[in-house]
Formats: sequence, structure tokens, C-alpha cells
Amino acid sequence: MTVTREIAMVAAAGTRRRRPKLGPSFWSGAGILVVILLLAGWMSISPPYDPLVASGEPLAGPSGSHLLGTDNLGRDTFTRLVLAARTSLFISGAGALLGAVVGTTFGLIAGYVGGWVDAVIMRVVDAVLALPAILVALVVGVVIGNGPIPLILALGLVFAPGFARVMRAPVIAMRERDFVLAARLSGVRGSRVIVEHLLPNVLTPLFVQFASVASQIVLIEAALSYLGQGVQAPEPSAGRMISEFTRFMQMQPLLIILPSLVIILLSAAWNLLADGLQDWLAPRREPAFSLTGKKKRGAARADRTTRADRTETRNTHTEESQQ
Amino acid sequence: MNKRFLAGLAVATTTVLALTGCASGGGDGAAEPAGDPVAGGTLTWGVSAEPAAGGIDPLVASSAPAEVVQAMAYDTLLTRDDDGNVQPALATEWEQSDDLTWVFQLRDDVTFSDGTPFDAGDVVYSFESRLDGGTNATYLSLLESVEATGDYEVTFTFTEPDGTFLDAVSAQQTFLIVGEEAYGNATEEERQTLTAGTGAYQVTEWNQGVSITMTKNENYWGDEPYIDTIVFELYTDENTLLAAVQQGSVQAAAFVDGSLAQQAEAVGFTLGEAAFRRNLAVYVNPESGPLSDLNVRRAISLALDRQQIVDTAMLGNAGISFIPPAGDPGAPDPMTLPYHERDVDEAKRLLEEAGQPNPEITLSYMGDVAAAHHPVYEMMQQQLAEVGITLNLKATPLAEISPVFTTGESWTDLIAIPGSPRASGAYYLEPVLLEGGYYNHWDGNPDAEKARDLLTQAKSATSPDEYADLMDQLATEAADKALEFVPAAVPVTFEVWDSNKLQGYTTDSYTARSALDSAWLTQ
Repeated sequence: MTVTREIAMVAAAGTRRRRPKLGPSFWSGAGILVVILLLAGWMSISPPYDPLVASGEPLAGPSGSHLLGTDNLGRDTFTRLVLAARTSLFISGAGALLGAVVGTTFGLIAGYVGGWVDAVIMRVVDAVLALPAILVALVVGVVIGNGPIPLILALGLVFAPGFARVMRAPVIAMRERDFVLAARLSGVRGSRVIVEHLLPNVLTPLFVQFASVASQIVLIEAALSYLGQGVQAPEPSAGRMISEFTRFMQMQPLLIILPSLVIILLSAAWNLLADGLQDWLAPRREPAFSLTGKKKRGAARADRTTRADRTETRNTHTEESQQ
Repeated sequence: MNKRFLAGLAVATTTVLALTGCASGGGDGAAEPAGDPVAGGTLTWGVSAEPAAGGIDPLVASSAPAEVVQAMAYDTLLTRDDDGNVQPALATEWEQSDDLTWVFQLRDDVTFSDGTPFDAGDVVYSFESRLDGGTNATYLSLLESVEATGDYEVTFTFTEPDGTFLDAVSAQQTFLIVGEEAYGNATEEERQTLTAGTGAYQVTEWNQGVSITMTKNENYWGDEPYIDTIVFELYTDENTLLAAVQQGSVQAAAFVDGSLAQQAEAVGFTLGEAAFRRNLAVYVNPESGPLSDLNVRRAISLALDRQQIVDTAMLGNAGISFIPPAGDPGAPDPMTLPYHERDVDEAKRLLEEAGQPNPEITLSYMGDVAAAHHPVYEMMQQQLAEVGITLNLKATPLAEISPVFTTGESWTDLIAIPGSPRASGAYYLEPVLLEGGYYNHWDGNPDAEKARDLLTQAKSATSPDEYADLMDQLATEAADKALEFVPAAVPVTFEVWDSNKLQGYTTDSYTARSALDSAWLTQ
């Protein structure tokens, strides 16, 4: 059963259970992202220190003037870390968005049109899925240069096939449904059927896929920057900080612990958001990990799922496990 | 679940890093009273690189790790003390009988490690083989002939006076003497992996990727060395090498990264005082863009706060330098050269005069290697920004930069390529100024004309004094016309050793580890 149908039926009948509240996973994930965004806004508008210029003694520890200390060139670590988190958040969000737009477009077309169009698109998708994301990003870096934009392009395109597969499966299940047939028989054009009738019904897996891809991009961006192929100096980047400051690991361990924490926090935030959205939009299975500890909640609801929903769930998770 | 696994892994990694970061080993810095030297023992010395192409072939290989081994295993005709004075080695006397002729008297009590005696024929063989396609053959371009004029006398004849010859022949890693029999009869593989020289220690085993073992040469002509065996163990990651030092797995180590050597010093190791012989050179392409204007180049030189680069970017592990590197024997005092001191106002005035108050310049550097040098470029960027120059840093993989110094490929604006020590001052500017030089984009440029003339004159100077005088003028001219930038100079390696165990060792100025010949291990 689809989300909009469910909402419509709840509204009409008023007898079914209401949609559950957003869980702690969602709020903790969203909370971390909002805090990072707020800090990033502060650092972008009026940073306490210039992130690119020395403002104190090199390799100083935390103090009143420098909350998290300074790096080897005397630059404020707090300012640079927040800006690094901002860059990482931007790359992961924009990369996942690009992947979502491209992947969803092809997934919807493949699922709705079917036939040889479907076959061609899905074989291309299979081929791209076989490429390791980090390798593609490295090659793109060599061809068009390093930096945030090439990274977004490369990672967006590498992760697009995942979206295409996740979108295609529910569309296939839905394209023969009565409301779609009704729309087609009324003479609605194919593109409009896709956008107005199919897309709103497959948003659940889209949101979940988006957040989980963003979390993977955070890790890949960090790995590439660690290798010197991602965000370039002197722009702050958590991955590059770790590689640069390994030298000072014993003199000022905070310099690598803090960027590691930023990477973990960002990746975890996206993951929690994905889990929270999954629980909220399609609460029909036992969550693998629940902050509330109410293990029975998902299981109880699983009984009420329809066949269509199960197809959707299965497909969604097949794709995730392939990433 | 995969994501959660990765996140968990990241947590674990950080925890491990935090633990290792916090757990620095203890150790007392006080060295025991030296006492009398004792013979015997095995010294384990950690290094972060092993010889590259050509292995340790004394006539072919020229990588820095190879040169260290070669300097221990082979001798040269002359050598130098730490003050730069020429000292006898395989030759006891040397004389420039006229502008074109040098005569060397050789020792008659030397044998190679394989037992064959050394004589003038080996010297002739060494130089002639080197001329025939060996490394540094270009240093001998003016050599007409080398002849054995006696059993222990060699005469070098030149087509024109060669001002660099005495420097080159006394550099410990340049004209190594090999045995006509020992080297000539060896296979290529033997030449690259073993040694048969006249030095105190010879390579007896090279386990590639693991270690190089050098054993005492029983036939050594000098005083018998104390240590039996020296093993150079390879730790490609210097942070791992530091851990090995702290655990006591090695008794000595050589670091490229000075801050790691400082950390080893902090746990009780002795840090040798190494000469700043490696310029962090930044080469200029003045053919187009803002750098074609002399005033812009001078403004860059004036915008650099070299002392801040040394103190902050390099954490004190570097020195102010121009060309040649400040640690070279006979190099001019950098504080006497033009544009050595920061002057922001004058730099801005020069930029105005050039009509380019805010030029934008690209600096490419090796982004994937030599991480210890990266802060220098970031600091240059900060300093240049203060006078209005935008320096765009381009971290380029070594693989993309290497065509510049192997085939002479061009670059945009500035490129940073750390140099290596050379036998004589003129050799640093040869590739920049002379035709065919890999860094030469100055052909036809009037700014470089005087420097080129001075270099040519110095190379054909008839006496060492004349050469030194011309080299001083050349250093001043190169700094005045800002033909190349040197933000700082660093030692080739920083040596640390446990002075409780390794006695009598000191770092020499030439990365030759020559003091190992007379050092000993406490039992």
C-alpha cells in the first residue's frame, strides 16, 4: 500500500492507526545536521578567526581564546573544523542530490516505459554499479581537476544507478494499478503520469536512499581528501587534516581526533536520518537498531503490510546492501 | 549495515589513534660517559627510503638513499671536513700544475674489499666508465683525458679551465672510485645490489623492501672500524619509524620530517645537527603571466617572511637560504643578499610600479609526497596575500610533476621541487640558466643575461678563489633578479640516535654517515 493512498484512507475512514511520530533516530540525525549548519552559518558570516591565517601560537592546546586549540600554522582549529564540516556536508548533500535527480529520472523512465528502454537503462546501471566510487572520483579528479565541484559530479554520477534501481522496482509494481490506468485512459501524457502519479508514491525509498548515499559520500570525500585528491589546501577538510596532522599525533593528538570525530558525526547523522525516515515513512519491519528499545513496534506493524509494500521494502534493502 | 560497520571502524580507529597519540614512551636523555671504545656488535638503523633506480651501482645510481650507502662503501680521491676544507682521501696530494692540468698522488696501501690492490688504473677506469654514460658525467664535460702517469699518480687534462672540478672531486658522493677488476667483472645485478669498494663497510645483503646489511671491510685501509655490522631497516612510513625509535627497535634513525625527529629527541634520543643542504626550490616560468615582470618577482621575494616560514611552517627545522643552499660549504650568508628581508610596503610599491597591484599566481607542488614541506607553501600563500598577491596552490601528484625534472616539461608560473645537494654551487643554477636545463625558461630573457654570463665564467674559472668570487656574484645576481625562490632550506635527513648505545657518532655535513667508521656500541 502506498503512502499517499494510506494517508487518503486514514483521512477518509479515520479508523486506521495514525502515522507514528518521528523517532529519536530522525531527531538526533537531523539535530546534528542542523547544529552543523548553524555553526557553519556563523563561521561563514562572521568567523571569530580567519580560517586561513595564523591567529595564535602553533600547536597550542584548547584555551579560552582558541576553544579547540590551533594547528601547526597557528590557525584556529574550531573555525577550520566547522568549515571542514560545512564543506563535507555540502559535498555529501549536493552529491546525493545530483545522484537522486539523475537516478530517479532514469529509474522512473525505465520502470514506467519498460521493454527495451528498461533493458538498456538497467544494463548501463549495472555497468556503472560495478565501478568503485573512489576510483571514479580519482579519475575525474585527474581529468577535470580536484575540488568540491568535480567531487560532487563524480560521486553524484556514481551513486545515480543506485537511485535508478530503487525507483524502478516500485514503479513496475505500480504502473498497472488502477489509478495509473485511470490516468492513462483519461489521456494524461506519460511524463505527467510519472511526475504526478508515480513519483509521489515512491518518495519513501528515495528519501532513505538519499540519506544513506550522503553518509557514504562523507566517508569517500574524507578518504579522497586524506589521499590529497579531494578538497585542496588551504581550504579546511577533515580528511586532509588527518593526513597532514599524523605527523603531530604525539605532540597534539587533538589535531587528528577532532577531524575524525567530525567525519564520524557527519556520517552518523546522515545514517540516523535515513533510519529515522525509514521508520517514519514505512514502519513495517523490525528496525535493526532502535534508540527507543521498543523492539516489538516494527514487528507488530509488519502484519499489516501489503504485498506492494513488501516488494518495495525488499527492493530498497537489496539496493542498500549492494552499495 | 555496511555503513554502521564503517562508522564503527572509524570510532575504533580514532580510539587507537588517541591511545597511541597519548602514549609517548619515556626515556632519559643523559648520555653515559663514553668510556673506551669496544669492538663488535650490530647497529640497527631505521631509514624511510631505500635506493631507487640503479640500486647502489656507484657509477649509475644517484638517489639520496643510495648515496648514503655509496659514501660508506666507496671512497673518493679527496674529501672535505665539516668546515668545507679539502682533505686527502684516496689521493694524498693534489696539484693544479697549470689552468688545464690537475695531478693527483695516490695512496699505495689501499685494497678493495675483494682483496685486489688499488692503483692509478682503477682511478682511470672509474672516470672513463663514468664518462661513458654514468651519472654526473656532465660534470666532466670539459675533461679531455685522464691518464695514469705512474703506478700511483693520475693526471687530468681539460680542454678548458674547469672551476667546479676541485669541488666535484672532493664531494663524497660524486666521483666514487671503483675497482677495475671488482666492478668491471661484476654483473649488472651484483653492481646494483652489492658493493666492492675501499670504504669501511660493504653491503653484503640487500633484502629489498626490508633491510640493507653492511659488514665491516676486513681490508679497510684506514683505522679498523669497531662496529661489526650495520643494518639499515626500512620503515616506509616515518610515523611507524618514530614508533620503532620509541620502542627501541632501532638504535638510530634518519627522518626526512624534522618534527618527527624532534619527537624522537623528546624521548631521549640525540638529534644530530645537520646542515641545510636541501633547498625547497620554487622555480619560475617567466615566459608569460605576472612573473615576466621583474618587479612582481621582487615583490614576491620581499613579501616572504623567511624567518616565520622557518620558525612556524617548519617548526624550526629549516634555515633561511638562497642559491646555493645555506648549508653548502662556501655558500654566501643569506642575510647579505638582496631582498632577503620582508618589506610589505616596498613590495606593494613594486607591484604598483608593475601596474599589477593584485596579480594572481599559481604554485604547483607535490601534493602526495613530502607532507612536511606543505605548510611552507600554505604560509607563502598567507604572506603573499598580505601584499595583494593571490597565490593559488595546486597540489599535484608527483607522477604529474616528475616530467618537469625528467624531461623538461613546462609549468605555469611557479613550481616547487625540493632539490638535492650538489657537488658544487654552479650545479644548482645550471638547470635554470643554461641551454637544455630542465628548469630553464630564461632563454632570451634580459633579466637572466648577467647571471648566465657569471655562471659560464665561474664554470671555467682557472682557480678555486676565482670560482668562489664569481659564485658569490652569481648568488647576489640570482637573488636580485629573483630567478628562483627559496622559502627555506632543510637537511636531507635528520639523524637521531640513542647515545647510550651508539657512542662517538656525530652527523656530518654531507649525509655520508662517515662517523660510523669510528663509532662503537656499548655492549
